[in-house]
Amino acid sequence: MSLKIGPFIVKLISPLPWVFSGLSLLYRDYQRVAVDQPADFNIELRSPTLLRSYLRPQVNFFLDGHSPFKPLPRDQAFAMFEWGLNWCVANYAHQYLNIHAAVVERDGKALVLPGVPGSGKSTLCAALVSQGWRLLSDEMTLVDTDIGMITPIPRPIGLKNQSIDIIQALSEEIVISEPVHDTAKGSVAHMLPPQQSVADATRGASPALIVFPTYSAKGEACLQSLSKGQTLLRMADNSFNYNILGSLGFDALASLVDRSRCFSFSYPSLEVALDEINGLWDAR
Amino acid sequence: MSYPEFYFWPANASLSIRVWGDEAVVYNSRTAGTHLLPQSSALVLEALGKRHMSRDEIKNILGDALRSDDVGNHDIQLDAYTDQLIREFLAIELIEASCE
Repeated sequence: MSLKIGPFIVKLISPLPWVFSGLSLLYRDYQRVAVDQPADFNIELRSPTLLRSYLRPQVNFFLDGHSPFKPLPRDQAFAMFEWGLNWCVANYAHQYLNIHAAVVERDGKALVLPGVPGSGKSTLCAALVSQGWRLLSDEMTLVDTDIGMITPIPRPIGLKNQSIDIIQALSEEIVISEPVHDTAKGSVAHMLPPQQSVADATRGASPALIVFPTYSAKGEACLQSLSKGQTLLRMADNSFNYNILGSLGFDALASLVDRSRCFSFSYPSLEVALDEINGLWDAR
Repeated sequence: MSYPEFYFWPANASLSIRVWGDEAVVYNSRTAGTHLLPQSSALVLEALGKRHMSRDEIKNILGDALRSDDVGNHDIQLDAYTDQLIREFLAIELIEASCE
């Protein structure tokens, strides 16, 4: 199967039927591409050995025939595809400045949410998308180094642990895959991206707002303005390939920051976060 | 105290500088370092990108920049500040020195 995922063509080969059951749910709205068309990433998911097809069955991820990871339990096959594709884009797509950040769009402008794992950016992203924001990505913000626009790569939104139930509770219309438990990240599931977000994946967005979220159950919401200099340094630390791109990466990041208002935001609940962020956006 | 005769950008390097208000960020292509600096320091680096400069010329640039800074009203020991800035720039390889 070959799919158009954002700007990339991804070819997936697997003898494992449960891989495609995940794809048929969460990638149902994506454009199919002829399998003989050259792909950006040639991925294979299969059992590492014949023995591991039956005894404590495992699945392994192969890119162009090489396996960069250790095998995982078979029921984590779809999650492995998602994590593996993240790895592929982070390690090879250097035509973009790649920032570890969720990014959503409204009115042609992008809200970038950089953050380390556990900051709540994916949960916040899923909630904003459920309110009508266009999903550009829940994991990586791709900045075109030629024109400075953010390139969408909308994919299933990864949710972990209690976030799964929190997001499902927002609306019955939200489609979330069956959780897989006991992964390295705990329980994980994926939210179906909105059909319109997938359909609009060729339409980029200009940056307008950068907010570093931090979830803190204890305490009050705190929104603080950040200087552009401080923001640039923090964004560089959150980038997968800033150091690889050199001065090209610096120029792209400086341009992104220059065009954006910048904040850090600590929040005790999703409801508070949504109110504050939407209010901040409307006040631009 | 004797000083090197000239200071200049590092050989085989380019410095990319962005200034926002009283802050600046500079990227050094040779070290891949990214540094947050006061705007006055960035003015020195920008000037050094155009030609070699002596310590006294650097001091004059800092003096003009800090006199025009409305934020601070305190006394500045310009000589000590200049020497400290040069030491820091040399330590993080934003400039080099020559005694030619």
